[in-house]
Formats: sequence, C-alpha cells, structure tokens
Amino acid sequence: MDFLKINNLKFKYASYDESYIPEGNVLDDVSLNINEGEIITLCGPTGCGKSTLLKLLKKEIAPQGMQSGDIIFCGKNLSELSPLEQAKDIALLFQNPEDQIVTDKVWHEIAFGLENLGIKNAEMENRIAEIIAFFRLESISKSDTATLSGGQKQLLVLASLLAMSPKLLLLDEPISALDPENAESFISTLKRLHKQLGITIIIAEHKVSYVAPISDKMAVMDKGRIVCFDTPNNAMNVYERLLPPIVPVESKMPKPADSEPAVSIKNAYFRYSKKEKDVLENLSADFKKGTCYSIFGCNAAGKSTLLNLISGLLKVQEGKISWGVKKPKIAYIPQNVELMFLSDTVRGELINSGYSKDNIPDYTKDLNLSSSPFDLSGGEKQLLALAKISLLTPDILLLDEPSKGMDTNLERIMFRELNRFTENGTCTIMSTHDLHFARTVADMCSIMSMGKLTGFLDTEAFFKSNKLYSI
Amino acid sequence: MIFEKYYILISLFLIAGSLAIVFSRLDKRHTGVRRITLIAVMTALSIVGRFIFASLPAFKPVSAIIILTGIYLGSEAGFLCGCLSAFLSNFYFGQGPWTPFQMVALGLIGLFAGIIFSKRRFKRSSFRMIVICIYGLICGIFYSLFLDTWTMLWTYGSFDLKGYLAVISAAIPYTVLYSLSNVLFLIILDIPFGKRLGRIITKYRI
Amino acid sequence: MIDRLHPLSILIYFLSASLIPAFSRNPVLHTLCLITGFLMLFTWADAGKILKRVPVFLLFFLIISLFNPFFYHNGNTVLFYVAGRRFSLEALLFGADSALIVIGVSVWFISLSHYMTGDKVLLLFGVLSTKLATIVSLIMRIIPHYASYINAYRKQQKLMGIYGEGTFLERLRAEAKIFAGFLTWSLEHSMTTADSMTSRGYGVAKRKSYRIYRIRQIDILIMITSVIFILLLGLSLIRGTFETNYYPVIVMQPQGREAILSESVYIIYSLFLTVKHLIKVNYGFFENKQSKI
Repeated sequence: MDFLKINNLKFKYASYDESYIPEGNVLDDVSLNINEGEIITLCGPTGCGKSTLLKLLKKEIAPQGMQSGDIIFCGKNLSELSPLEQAKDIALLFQNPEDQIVTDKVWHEIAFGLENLGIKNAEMENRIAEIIAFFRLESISKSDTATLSGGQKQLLVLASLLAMSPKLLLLDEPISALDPENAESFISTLKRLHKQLGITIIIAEHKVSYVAPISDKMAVMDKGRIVCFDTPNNAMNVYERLLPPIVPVESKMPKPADSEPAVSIKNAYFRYSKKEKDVLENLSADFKKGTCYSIFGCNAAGKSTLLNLISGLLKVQEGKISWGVKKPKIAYIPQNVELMFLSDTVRGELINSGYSKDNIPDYTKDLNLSSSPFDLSGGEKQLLALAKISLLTPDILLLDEPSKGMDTNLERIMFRELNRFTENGTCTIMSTHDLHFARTVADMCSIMSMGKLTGFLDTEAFFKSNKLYSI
Repeated sequence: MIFEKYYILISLFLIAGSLAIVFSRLDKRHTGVRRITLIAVMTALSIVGRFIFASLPAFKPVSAIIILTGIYLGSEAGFLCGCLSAFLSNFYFGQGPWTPFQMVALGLIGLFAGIIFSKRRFKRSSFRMIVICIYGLICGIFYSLFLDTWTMLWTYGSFDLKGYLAVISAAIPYTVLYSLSNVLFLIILDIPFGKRLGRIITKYRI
Repeated sequence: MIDRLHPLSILIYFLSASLIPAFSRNPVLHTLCLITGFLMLFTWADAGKILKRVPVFLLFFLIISLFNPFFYHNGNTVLFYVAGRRFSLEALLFGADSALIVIGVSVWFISLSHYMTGDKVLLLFGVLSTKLATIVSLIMRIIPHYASYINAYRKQQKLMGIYGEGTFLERLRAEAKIFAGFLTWSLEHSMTTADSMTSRGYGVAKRKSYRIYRIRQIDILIMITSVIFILLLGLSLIRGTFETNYYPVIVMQPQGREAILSESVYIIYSLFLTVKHLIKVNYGFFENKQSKI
C-alpha cells in the first residue's frame, strides 16, 4: 500500500475579488506515488503550482477553489480524515518562520501543538523534553522567541511541528529565506531527523542544490503539471532544461578608470551601543559612478550596517562619509523588501511610485496587479521593489541580498535592470551571499570582515585570486 | 464628604470579579482562529501606538483603534481589544489598582462601538463619520473624567465638590486634547482601516 | 525565592500585602506597607536603580501632601494662612498619610509586575479561558516584533521621501499613511499565523494549557496565611479599629486586641517573606562564591 497517493489532481483557485479571475488550472492532472520514509523534492519555476500542491495536502488550510481527483493518505481519502488526525499526522512548515511563531517563549511554542491536542500534562512534559534535546534547544528553551535569529526561528518552528510526531512533513520553501550558513544547518538537521525518525518529507524548494543531495526522488513541475518524477540526478537534468538557457549578459561596458566618486568613506568607525564591539573599524573605501560593487562576507560581518551608513539612515561616529554630489538621490532596497511597500495592491504600489496606469515596467506586467504586494513570491517582491525605485534614477543604489528568493528567470530580469542603472551612471553597491549573481552583475568585488573591506578587485580577478570565494 | 474609601475597595472587587466572570464565559462562544489573530493584531497595534506617542501627553491612538476594532470586528473583539490593551500596556506604563477600572472602561468603549456601529445599522456615509466622531469625543471625555474621579478617590479616599472641581478643571486641557486626538485619529484612520480590514475579511472569509 | 512561587500565590500575597492596608486609614499600617514595599524592591532590583526612583516618589509625596491642605481648611492647628484661608497641620498630615499609602501601593505593584512574568500571567488567564490565553500569548509574541518592524519601516519610508516636510496636518497624514501601510503588512502576515495555528490543530480538541508551575507546599502556606490575614484585617477594617480621625484634631481609634493582633500578624508575615527572603538570597550568594573557590 502506498503511503501517499495522488491521482489526477486538478485545481483551480476561486476568485475572491471580481477584478481578477484566475485563468486555467493551477494544478493539472497531477499524479504522484510516495512511499513511507522517502524525502521528495518538488521543484519548478515560480508559479508552477508546487506551493498549491503542498497546501492541498493539508485540508484545513487548503486554498478555496475547484478541486478534482483523489489524495489518498495511508489508505484513506484525505477528505475522510478527522480534523484531529489531520492535525496530528500531517505537518506543514511555511516559508516565513517569523509568521508561524505563535507564542512568546520557546518552550511554549513547542508545547502549542500539544496543548491543542489536549494531551495530559505529564505526556506533554515528556515530548517537550525530547524535542528540546533532539534540536539542542536547551540553552534557549526559556528565551523569548523575539530574541532568536532567523535560523533559530526556522529551527524552532520545525521543532514545534515535530513535537506533534507527524507521519508526513511538508516543507514549503523552507530555506529560501535563509542565508547559506543557516540553510546548511537546517538541511543537516533535516537529514538527522530523517535518519532517526524515518519520517516522510516533501520539500517544495527552488534552491535545488541544497535539497537534491538529501532527496530520494525529485518531482519537477511546470505550469501545473509534473513533467518528471525520478532520481535527483535525472530530474536535475530535466529541471535545468526547463530553465531558460543561460545567455551571457551583454558584455559589460569597459568602465572609464577615472570616473568621479559617488561615495567615499574615510576611516569610519561605528558601533550600535557603548557596550558593543565596533561593527565598522577604520573602514575606508571609494565607490565610483557607473560601477557596480558587490560586498561578500558572513552573517553579522556588518554589511547591512555599511549600507545603512551609506544611505544616511545611520551616522558614522568617527571618520567621514562624503557623497559626490551635495544632495545625492539614494535608493535603498533593504533585505526585507516589504519595508518598502505602502499600498494594499501591487497596482497601488506602482502608481504611488510615479507610474501611470498603462506605463508600468514590462517586468511587472506578469504580476497580478490587484493582489496584495505581500502575496507575491520572494523574488517577485524584489522586482516590485526595483520597479518602485526605477523612476528615481538614483545616484546611489544600495541593495541588500537582491537575489533573495529569486529563481533563474527572475534573476535574469534583475541582471538586465541593474545593468541599465549602471549604464546610466548609477553607483550600485550590493551585499550578497549569491556568488553566481554577483559574478554576472558586479564590476568590483570585496569581502567585509573584522569591520573592514578588503581592497576592491575587478570581478574576474577577484574570483581568480580567491580560493574559497570561487565558483 | 461624599464618598468613602470602602466604596473603592468594594467596587474594585466587584469589577475584578465581573471581569473574571466575563472572561471565564468567553470559551462558550466559538471564535474562528483568524478572528482571534485579528483581535491580537489590533490589540498589539494599539499598544504599539501607545508606545509611539508615549512622549506626547494625551495624544494617543489607543481608544481610536479600540473603537475601530469594535466597529469592524464586532463587539466581542472590541471588548477584548480594550481590556487587553489596558492590561498589557500597563506592564510597561505601570500596573496598579487602577488596572481593572481601565480595562473595563476601555473594554466598554470597544463593546459599545461594536453594538452601535454594527454593519446592518450603518452604511458608509458622512453621517456615519459624524456619529463616529461624536462617539469618539464622548468616549474621550467619559474616559478622562472617569479616571480623574477614580484617582481622586484612590488618593484621598473621600473628597468634597470643591477639591474635585479643582482637579477636573486643572485636567481640562488634558481631557480636551485627549478627546480631540481621539476624533482626529478616528477621522484619519477610519477609511484606511475600514478598507484594509474589509479586504482581509472578504479575502479570508472571516 | 519569590519567582519560584506559583502565580496564584504571588498574586494573592501581593494583593493582600498592598491593598488591604490601602483601605485602612492608619499611618502605622501605611508606613509599614511602604517599608515592606521597598524591601520587596530590593529582592530583585539593584540598589542604584531603586535610588534613581526615589526623587520621583518624593515629588509625588510632596504634591499629594500639599494638595490636601490647600482645599481642606478644617483642622484646629493652623500653621499659616494662604490667601486668607487656613493651612492646617491636620490637613497636611492627612495628605501625607494619603501620599504614604499611594506610593506604598505603587511600590508593591512595581514588584508585582516584575514577578508576574508573561508565562505566569498566561497561566492565570488560562484558568479563566483558553481563548483569552491564546490571544494574550499572541499579543505578547507580536509586540516586540511589531515594535522593531515599525521602527525600520518608518526609517525606510523616510528615506523614500514619504515624510513631506509640511504643516502639522500634512505630517500627520504621512504618519497615518505609514500606519495604514503597517496595518496592511500586519494583517497579511497575521493570516499566515492563523494558518500556522490551524495546521497545528488549534480547535480540533479541547485545548489544555501546559503547566510549568505546580502548586507546592509553600504556595499553600502563603495562600492560607494571606487569606487569614485578609480576614483578620478585613474584620478590623469593618469594625473601624484602624480608623483615624483627622478633623478637627487627630484621634487614633483606641486599638482593640484584634487590631493589634492583626497588625502584628501583618508585620511578622511581611517580614517573613521579604526580609527572610533577602537573607536567603545573600546566603545563596556567599555559598556560590565559596563553591567557586
């Protein structure tokens, strides 16, 4: 008997809003057989239906719409499962850990699901202790959830799902919001979990390189259909063919060596409070017009702080930052792009930032204009943020992790737009973990460490000279 | 002397007791998860609002947000939002024997907002806006008068009219500012709150 | 240690120790309440932080004490005349007595809100209603998240030029726009929170709060003594043995046997839990030092 069997599943969203009627099926004839104890990766370009498929497996939060076909879980039709069984046996992890935390203490978060099931206190105590030990949360078990880092939050959410000992674990883009360090530790926890519990896991994720090594099988989806369901190696080939071919971006314009500086920083020092250590320590750098700079470095190296200082949101405490023009136009796309949104529809956002109704940037035309900007995928949000600052023609453009949550398609649009900015004389400075992205788009690269920037090198030279930072 | 301090003691026990009874009956009524989170969000917003404007005396969006919660999410939501705003924000601004009274006062403001402005009775119109403003003004005056009286009773146990009037008239600028800020916040926030909450309510079928 | 107690016994103890004396009119009780309140502060706060608050309390003391004689003129001992009206010693002392207890209760409540941590409050609410407890825990989780987000949000919007420098009304309008944007953000995200609650089985069975605090012997002891104390003092309150008349001359009620009894119970009881507690903490401190060596 199959553990999970999906037969000819079709799905079409209901519309809640008259101005937007979704066309076509989001899922079309999806069939999958999954055995107990397998790890399955679902991948495919943005909008292929992988998230919808996951949500349909969890009845209580399944989206509204027309559905046909069967989902059979442990020999029972999913719709016949009692709410209690649903809650206990199938666990779903959403993309953003911040939104899934319900309580203010770590131990209480783990207890939350158990409390809902009405389990006896002694049994709860036992399960909580087990989970805390397994996830190594002892040192933070009594902390406030608000004090945890992003990676710890994602781990906590996973832990609190597992406290309910589910049979099937569904993960919806669990690592796309995490940086490489946290993504790696999340994956290794998953691996350990699978080894010890033998739990069945389905992961929808576009950062395939992280999840493929631990998967038993991979399902590639495109336009609501499953185009391939095979071993990770074979499926990867199909997946790569599905992506638009990698065309080298038009060769970068040779930069005039002596273009004017847009920003120069001299011997800058900065720390957040008296008792803390310096984040910037005697940092000096020059950033020229019409050039794209990329800054690497691990978490908490001070990259975001540096961008904040250049934008003027923070002020240096010693040293000096001088801008090329007196009142430079500075555009800043922060790591959390949602900080830029002000309106409740995508259309409203575009009109707010100066576009007229029929003159919106071509790359935003595919977005659902009447949906909320918060309903967009991570990559689409980045594009919308870019559109919002495009009309400004800024002197300095600051980007914090611009390729976050982007699939290859969207990345390509980002390359094109950033190049356009640079050609128009904008000085672009970005901080990123994404080496591929930086290599394609940046002219100069540097690493931030111990409060300083290493000397900027030409991108090619940088990747040649660095052993660890190389592709 | 009009009042004796015992009345406060008795009213304190009565108020705390009736709050406990109301709270213990909450579980009898089913409230959907989404509604529960919305109540939490609105309460958190009103508390954060109290923080943002902490430096300005009397100029607070708290009551306005509680009234809007009552209007758009119903009287139960309004009552809970009022009670919990008072209780939880006092952890930062100072707890005291006044907490139960503040809880009840703000809770009632939300409760009546929900009853008066239920959707069936009022369509969006300028008349409705005017009534909302008047309600905000009355709530502001009622709330400050209530708290002033309570403070007097609490401090001296009893008072005569002269002392009372002196305190009330000294507090007039504060009361006026508070009531007007209520109205101002209601005017500014009603349309965006209505629009956004309405959108969420239809989108998620709450 | 007080923070190890069950929330219910903390609540009863604090309320009995502060509220009952507050409703008597007896300077001896009031002074005791203030002193024990300060002792209680020392069980958790640094001396420096407590001293910082003292000027504020003194100011309150002066305002409350002086307000009374300006409006009450009936006392026999006239100190001086203000604008032709008597400023009497009795009225001043009445004000001072009121100030003593108002400050005393405030001091007790500062410690109460320190010891009543979020999880203790939740447990108390959970007894009344699980729905209420869920809402409270959500709010406590959301507030720090919102506070940090709105700071970052305002900065970012400022950078994007949303704050027009203009009249007060224009700036207010910009603030409201930001607040509305913040509202959209919080509403949309809260729906994911709701989904996360549903998918973790909220509402599928009768919810049961996980209790990390259990009632111990000491809790029962504290609750019983508190209740006895409340009854004793309450009885004296009703019979008026704690009453003091201020006008026209100060007359303390002849204190009966029960009043003295309940007062001494009060003193012993309060000292038992504050001073003894202080000594215990200090012992622990020394022991730790020794074991380290």
